[in-house]
This record gives sequence, structure tokens and C-alpha cells, in this order.
Amino acid sequence: MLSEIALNRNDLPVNVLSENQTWLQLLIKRAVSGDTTAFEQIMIHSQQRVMTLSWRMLGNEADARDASQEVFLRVYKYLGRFKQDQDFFAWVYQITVNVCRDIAKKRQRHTERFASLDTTVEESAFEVPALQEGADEALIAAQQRELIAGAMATLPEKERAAILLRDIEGLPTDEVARILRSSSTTVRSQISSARKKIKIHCERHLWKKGGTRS
Amino acid sequence: MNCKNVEELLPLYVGRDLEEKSAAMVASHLQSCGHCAHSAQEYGEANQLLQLFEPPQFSEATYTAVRSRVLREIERESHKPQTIFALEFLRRPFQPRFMWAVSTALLLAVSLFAYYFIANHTNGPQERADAESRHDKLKDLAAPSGNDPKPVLPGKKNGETPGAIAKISHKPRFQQTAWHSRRAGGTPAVPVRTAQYSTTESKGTAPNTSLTSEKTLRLEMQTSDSNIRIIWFSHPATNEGSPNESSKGI
Repeated sequence: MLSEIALNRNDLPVNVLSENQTWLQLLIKRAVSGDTTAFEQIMIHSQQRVMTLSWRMLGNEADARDASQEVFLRVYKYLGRFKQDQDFFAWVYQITVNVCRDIAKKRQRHTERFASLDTTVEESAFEVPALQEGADEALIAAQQRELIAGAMATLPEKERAAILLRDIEGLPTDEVARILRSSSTTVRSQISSARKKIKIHCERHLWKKGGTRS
Repeated sequence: MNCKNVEELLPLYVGRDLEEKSAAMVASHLQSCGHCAHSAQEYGEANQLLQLFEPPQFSEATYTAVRSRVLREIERESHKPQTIFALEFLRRPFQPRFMWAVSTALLLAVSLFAYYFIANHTNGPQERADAESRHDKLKDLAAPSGNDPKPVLPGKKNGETPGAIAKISHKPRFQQTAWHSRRAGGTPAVPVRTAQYSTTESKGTAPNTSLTSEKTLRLEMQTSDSNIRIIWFSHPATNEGSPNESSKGI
């Protein structure tokens, strides 16, 4: 009865799910015992996080889709090893980061894609002053997104993962260190270095060229 | 705290990753330094831009396709025949990670074996060479030559020249290393090596001719001075009391 109720809670937002650990634990138990319906529920409630992080790590939708598929297969395979006192989504993030690293190593395609994106950003950055007057805010926002994507592309893989988890996902430094299997000091150093590089990138491509400042 | 130090800490300060004490010091500096305050503002703006790093809105069809593929794969895995599992099990040893581990273990084992083999192989001949060199030295010491105050021992029964040691055991065995004091103060100064030799039948110089057929114990000590050598001969029956007592010193 409880499980039926649980399966009907499909429309719960992700942040509510993270607070309702009992409900999630129930789904996990059922999935471990081979219930694919329960596992599908787990996928539904974590797919957005996995896809988003994969896209941020890899830079394109096709790779993000492949990464998400591999992540969920690994989650299903190793769900029995998941400890109930762990944070499930931190565990999923850890798998996602590992999968994205594997995919990036195998394909080496994301570098070229980011590089082409970076070129686009550079070209568009020169056009920013012309857009100042009567600017279309949406277009500026798009350019800023491209700019920040270009900045992320310049980061080494470990720094990118650290700053994604810390500044965008908003995880505490210790949690980031646990996900990346590193020390807090190392993560802090990576984050500091990444922030410096992003600031320098923004200076070069936006602020010093008379672009928009938020 | 100067500007250089603050510049290093600013990336962590804007993300609130600094400890309270350091953060307070940076904040205090920012109030008085316009340059650093401007830099801090830029870090903040870069951080705001970072929040724009959003992926495009994925359609529900995309998510559904991912889930369907995952579930299909899980279904396929669950219906995999046992023979495929067996093949997977057989294939596992040839996976790169396993192969690396096995290769490393083999390399370590071979290295250890080679080390012990070489160590044993080189120590054996070395020890033999040392023993032979010691033997040669002692032979030199035993052989009468020039002005050395060597004892003249009776030769063999078959009439060899007296003075030659009839026989020296093949492997002279060092019994001890003693310290011979030559100074009045008794300060240990000169190492003296002693060696024991078994001689065969001796005669002539021994006062008691009846003992010529007895074994003679020769104890030789070489001081650091090559001109001084102490040699003791012992005949077991010379002293009636104890056969171990020395009978003659040269």
C-alpha cells in the first residue's frame, strides 16, 4: 500500500524528494530487489540533475544523453552498494562525474566542440557594443551564456567539475571533495583557480571590450 | 594584510569559502582599498555570469528516450543467458585493469627472485675468495722466510726439511680477534688475529722425543707490526696436568 502511494508521487519536485529520504529509501529498496518500476521512479526524479550536470561537463546534448543513460545503468547495477545513510543525489553526482570523465576521455570530442563554441563567443563578444543601444536582452543573455560556456571550456576537467558542483549546484566544499574523491584543501584550490580563470576570461572577452556588465 | 595577499584570497572570499578570521581581514582591507574592492566586485559579477551556464531545456521526449533505453538495457541484461555470463566471467581476466594488476605482480615477483638469486650468487664466490685470500696470507705467515723469527718445526717423518710446517689444515679457521695491548696504560692498540693449525707428527725440537708422534697445536698471532709475530705450540702431553696448557712460546 505504501509502495503504491509512493509510486503516485511522481509530481513531487526534486528538492522535496531530497528531504523525504524515507520515501526515496523505499524506492531504492524496491529497485534493489529488482522492481524496475521503482527504479523508473528514481530515474524520473533524478534525470534532470543528471542530464544538466552531464551537459555542463560535456558541453552538448548528445553526449549528455549518452552519459545519463550510462549513469542510470551504473546506478541500477551498484544500487545494492548504496548505503542508506548516504546522500543519494551526492552518490548519483559522483557516478555522473565519473561517467562524464570516462566519456570525455573516450571521445575527446567535447574539447573541439567547446573550442568551436569559444570561437563563437569571441566573435560575438566583438559585436556586443553594437548591441548596446536598443539591445535585445534575450540576445545579450544568450551571448553571456556563450561567454561563460567558453570560460568553462578553458578550465581543466577537475577544476570544471569542482566549480560546477560548488558554485552552480551549490554543494558544500566537503561534499564536493567527497564526490570528487579529493581533499577539501585541493577542492578549495581548484575552485579558487577556476574563479580566477573565469574572471580573467570575462575581462578579456566582455568587460574590457565595452560589453555589458550585469 | 596587503593587496597581494588579498588578491590571492579574493576568489575564496567571494564564494564564502574562507574561514571567519581570514574573511574578516579581507573585508577590512576591502573597505580601505578601492583597487581590491573593484576586483572583488568583478569576481562577484563573474560568479553571477556563471549562474547563466544553463543547458537548453531538454524535452520530455529526451528524458523518456533515456529512460526507455535504460530500462530496455536492464531487461536485456536480466534475460541474458547463463552462457553469456560464463563468457563474461572468462573474459574478465583479459580486461585491461586485471591484466595490469597481473603484469605488475609478475614483474615484482621476477624482480624479487632475480634480486635474491644475484645476491646469493655474488656472496658465495666472494666469501670463497675471501677465505682463499686469508688462507694464502696465513700460508705466507707460516712459511719460513728471511729474518722472520719463525719457529723451526721438525719436519715430517719422511725427512723433510725441519722448519717447514708439515701440514696446514686446508681451511684455517679464525677463532677470535683479540686486542693486544702494547702500552703500559693498557690501551687497546693493536688487533691480533689468532689462528689454529693442526700439524702432523713433529719431532726434533721437542724436548720429549716420545711426543713426536703426538699432534701439535700451533697458535699464531700476527700483530700489526709485521716483524712481530707470536706463535704458540702446544703438546697435549707436555704438561702432565692439563693437555690444553701451552708448552712453548716463541
